[in-house]
Amino acid sequence: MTRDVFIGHLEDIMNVSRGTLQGREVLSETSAWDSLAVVSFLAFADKEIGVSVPPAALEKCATVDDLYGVVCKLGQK
Amino acid sequence: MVAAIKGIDYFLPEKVVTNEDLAREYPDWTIERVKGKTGIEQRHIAGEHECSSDLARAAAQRLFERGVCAPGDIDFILLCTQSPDFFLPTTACLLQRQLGIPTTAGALDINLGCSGYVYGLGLAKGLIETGQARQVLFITAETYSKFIEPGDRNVRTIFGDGAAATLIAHADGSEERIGPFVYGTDGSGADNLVVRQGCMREQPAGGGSTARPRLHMNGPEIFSFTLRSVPLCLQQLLTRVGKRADEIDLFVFHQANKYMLEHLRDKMGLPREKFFIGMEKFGNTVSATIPIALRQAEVDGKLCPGAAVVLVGFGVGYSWGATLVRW
Repeated sequence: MTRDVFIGHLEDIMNVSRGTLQGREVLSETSAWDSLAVVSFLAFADKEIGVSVPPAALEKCATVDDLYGVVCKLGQK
Repeated sequence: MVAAIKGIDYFLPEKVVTNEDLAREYPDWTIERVKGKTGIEQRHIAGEHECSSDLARAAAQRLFERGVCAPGDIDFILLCTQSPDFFLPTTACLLQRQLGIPTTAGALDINLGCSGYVYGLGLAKGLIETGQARQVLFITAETYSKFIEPGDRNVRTIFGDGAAATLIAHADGSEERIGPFVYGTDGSGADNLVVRQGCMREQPAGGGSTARPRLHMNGPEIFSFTLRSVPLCLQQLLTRVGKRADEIDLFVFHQANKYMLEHLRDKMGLPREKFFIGMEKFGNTVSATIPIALRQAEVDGKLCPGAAVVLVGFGVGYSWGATLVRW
C-alpha cells in the first residue's frame, strides 16, 4: 500500500478531511488519535493490509509516518 | 440421557442511560462516533441498592412465570458473575432462599465474564449427563456499572447491567444437544480488563474503604486478542463438530460491540443473515449477552427446532470458549 493511500485511510479513521495529514503530526498531540481510532486502525491493518499490529507497537509510534513504518515492516515479514 | 436448553429469559434494570444522557454529562465525548463504533444506543444500569442477585432473581422468576420450570423442580443453581453481592457467602446460595428452591439443590458461583455462558453450559451439561442433576438453573448476572468510573469513556459507553436465566435439563434421545466444546485461556491478558482493588491482592491505601474498585480496559489490546483467538476458536469447534460454517444455522457471539462483531464476521466470511448482532439497546452485559441474544433470536423467529447454533464467548481473562447447541 502506498503512503498516500495509507494516509487517506488514516484520515478516514480519524474522521478528518482529506489532505489534513502530512505525516509529521505527533500522535500524542492529535486529539483524533484516540482509543476508537486505534481500534479502527487495528481493524484496517488486519483487513486491508493483512497484518496483525500489536497495540504495544502503536504506543511506540510518535508520528503518523511512524504508523506507516510499522505496517510496512510487519507486511514484509 | 442428554442435556438440552429448555428455556431462556432475561431481566434488565429499569434505569436506562442513553447516548444523549452521556453527551449531556460529557459534551466533549463524541457520542455519535461512539455509537458508530460500538453500535450501542443505550445501556441499563442497576440501581444503587440493586445487586447481581436481584437481577438474577428477576430473570429466574420470568422463567417460572412462563411455565418453563418451577422452583421445586430445580436441583442445581449455577450463577456466573464477577460482581457478586458479597465476597461470601456464594451468591447462588442467596438465590436458593430467595427463589424458594429446595435445600436439597446444589448451588455454585462461577467467576467468569464474557466467556461465562459457554463455560456454564459445559458445567451444566456435565452435571446432567453424569446424573448429578436433572434440572440446572443457570443464571448469568452482572453489575459492572458499579465498577465503572463515570468519566471513563472507554467503559462507560460500552457496558450495561443485566441478567439471563437458562434452564438446562435432561432431554430424550441420544443426539448431543449441547456440545462439543472448545475452551481457551491466556492469563497474559489479565491486565487488559481488570478490577484490581478491593480483593486480596490490592487493598485500598491505609486499609480503609475509600478506594472504590474500578474497571480498567485496554480496548486495543482486547480487540487484538479477539482477532487472534476467535477465528481460530470457531475453526477448532467446526472441525470438532465436523461441519462447515455454511452448515450452521445461526452464529451467536458474545455481544461485545457492533464494530468488533462486524469485523470478525467479515474476517471469517460468515453471512450477515446468520450472524446475530443485537446489543444496541442493552450494551455489553458480559456473560449475559449470549443468552439475551438467544432469547431475542427466539422471539424474532430466528431459531427453529433442531437449528444448529454456534455460541462463542471471549474476553476478560483472557478466556474464550465455543460450543454447538441444537435448539
